[in-house]
Amino acid sequence: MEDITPLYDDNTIISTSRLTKAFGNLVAVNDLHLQVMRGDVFGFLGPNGSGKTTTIRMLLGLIRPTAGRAIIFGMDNAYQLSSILPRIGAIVETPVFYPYLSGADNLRVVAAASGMLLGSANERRIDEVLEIVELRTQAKQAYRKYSLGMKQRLGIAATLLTDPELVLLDEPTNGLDPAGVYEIRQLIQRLSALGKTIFLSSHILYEVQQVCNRVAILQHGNLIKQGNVSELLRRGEQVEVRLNKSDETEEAVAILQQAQEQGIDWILGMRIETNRQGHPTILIDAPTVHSAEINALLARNNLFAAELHPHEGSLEEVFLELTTPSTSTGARPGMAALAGGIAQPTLISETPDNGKRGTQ
Amino acid sequence: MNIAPGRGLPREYPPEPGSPAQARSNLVMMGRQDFTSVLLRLIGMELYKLRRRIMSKVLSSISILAILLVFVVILLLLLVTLRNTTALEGPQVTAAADPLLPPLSLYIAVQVIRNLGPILIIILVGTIVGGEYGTGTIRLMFTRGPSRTQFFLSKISAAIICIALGVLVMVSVGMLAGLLLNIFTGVTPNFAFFSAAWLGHAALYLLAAMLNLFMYAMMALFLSTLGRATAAGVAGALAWSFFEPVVGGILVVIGRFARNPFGNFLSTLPDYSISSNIGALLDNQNQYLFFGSSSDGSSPVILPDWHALLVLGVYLLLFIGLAWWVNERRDITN
Repeated sequence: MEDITPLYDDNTIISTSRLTKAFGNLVAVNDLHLQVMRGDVFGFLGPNGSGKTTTIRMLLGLIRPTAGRAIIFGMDNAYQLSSILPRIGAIVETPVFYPYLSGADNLRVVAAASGMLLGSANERRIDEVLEIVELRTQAKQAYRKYSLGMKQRLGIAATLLTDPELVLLDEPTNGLDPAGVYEIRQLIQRLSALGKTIFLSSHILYEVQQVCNRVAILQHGNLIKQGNVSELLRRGEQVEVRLNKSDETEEAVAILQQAQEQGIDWILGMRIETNRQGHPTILIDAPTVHSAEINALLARNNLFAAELHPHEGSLEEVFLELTTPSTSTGARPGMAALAGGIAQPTLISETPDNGKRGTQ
Repeated sequence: MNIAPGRGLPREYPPEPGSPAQARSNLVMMGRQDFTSVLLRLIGMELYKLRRRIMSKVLSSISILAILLVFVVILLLLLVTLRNTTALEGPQVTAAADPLLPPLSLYIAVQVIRNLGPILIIILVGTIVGGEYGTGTIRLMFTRGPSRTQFFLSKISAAIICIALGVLVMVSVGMLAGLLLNIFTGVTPNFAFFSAAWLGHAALYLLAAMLNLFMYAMMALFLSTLGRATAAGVAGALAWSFFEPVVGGILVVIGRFARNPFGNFLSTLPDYSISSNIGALLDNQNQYLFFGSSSDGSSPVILPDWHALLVLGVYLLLFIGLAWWVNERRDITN
């Protein structure tokens, strides 16, 4: 594999190079090359056991890589961890605090451990972060009496306490109700607007799609995809066309294939499927902006669509396409093209669209 | 390109200054970030946590109650003796009241600390160290900025502060209680023993008492770090503290029966145990403080101070060094 030198420039917040962690014979993370740029809201996806938390632990210095390096803020975390960590706010898995202390007391302890002044100097900041996560009224309550959602929110408060440049969140919405999830999404967007870089590991792909501009997808410890969300979703777009008769459907497919052969490169592929009502429909892997052109192409051949739906791609589909072997065999050509780089990290876009969210 | 592996292994690149840090919110008041300032804040944090724990309040209460109880029991025994024995003359009554008065009350207080203190400090240190692993807060602490060494040193420093405060408070409370309870005997205290030399030896005596607790504290720290659990530190160190004198006694007996070089070897092994050497340090000061000076060499010295300090130093080096090494090298997983 080609070597990728870790980046030291001011715009790169996280750059890993060949980061590997093996626990005995089990390779939890293999040859990971990640790049998170300043201002990114970076989604870190993968099935359970894919190595997400191990990667986060390596970034935070909780576990030692077997090989490779992680450069954060231009510093090597193997040697300059104590200069790196004060600039990071992190939740690793379920946040844990001292059960015998109240929420506010726990934040005071975290403040002291984070290099903040002791005493009353930071009381206003503690109040502020408690306000942000709506725990101010329960601030004096013992942590052991907190619900799972409250514990999660206190974890986020601790993360924000030092006003860090990089916020690293590992499943931050675990245990939160829908309103809580929405609040966290809003919070992430607010932090992003303030110029913070967010590294978000989550199973909730809709959540990631809503807030992230770049993602990396991990499977069995291997990076299988890294790139802009908008780019990924664009490739997952489809146009669904239904004609009145089944012979018209066959004819339409032939016309579209012919057009593809004649050089219409935005048609990536197509297949016939039966929709919920039992009607045959054509699923065309093409950007939805070309819906009208597809309609016109068919109309020029006296085929008139009974229904035409632009179908926007979802991260969930992309994720499943990339991480589920059974679906990749019958993958749509567009998806198959995306999945072509399995086990080989593929940068979809070399220039991330900082500050520009894929879908919001 | 040769990719250098993780922390602790040869460096491939020189340290980088890193990208400039962004300004924080005006409400975030950061302290100084030099090694000592960070360490002092962490010590403050440890003491804050201890203050807020019910366990530390319970342990403090037990220690104070225990020392008060001992002096009350001494008084009661003395009063019973005085009531039942009419033959005691003035000087004999004065001698009987000695345990309530300085200097002997210092001896009594330190004996209480010597016997009860290890149990309490083992529970305290085992909990503050092992508890971090048990609750998982070690993850929180290790991702906030201070180095693992600073975190480790803050635990040791908090233990030292607790030990010093505990010994001084227990001794003060015990001696004060003795003086107050002595009112019931009617014996006038005599402070003729008091001199600069005596004060120096008393300070050494208290330091030896503190060292006794520190040894067990570091044992608990080592075992709870190794076992990643409070139970490992507490149970392991308590078992050590109980069984070491017993095993030592058995070895001496076996050695005497054997009457051969191996027997001699066995019978000298207890000279290298923690309890024997702490005992030696305390007993060597006892000679000066309570039972007449041994500066003329007339009183038998079982183990010299230098031997005791050397042996205890090796133990400390092992406990602290290994705990530090484990703490530094360990991967923090679930």
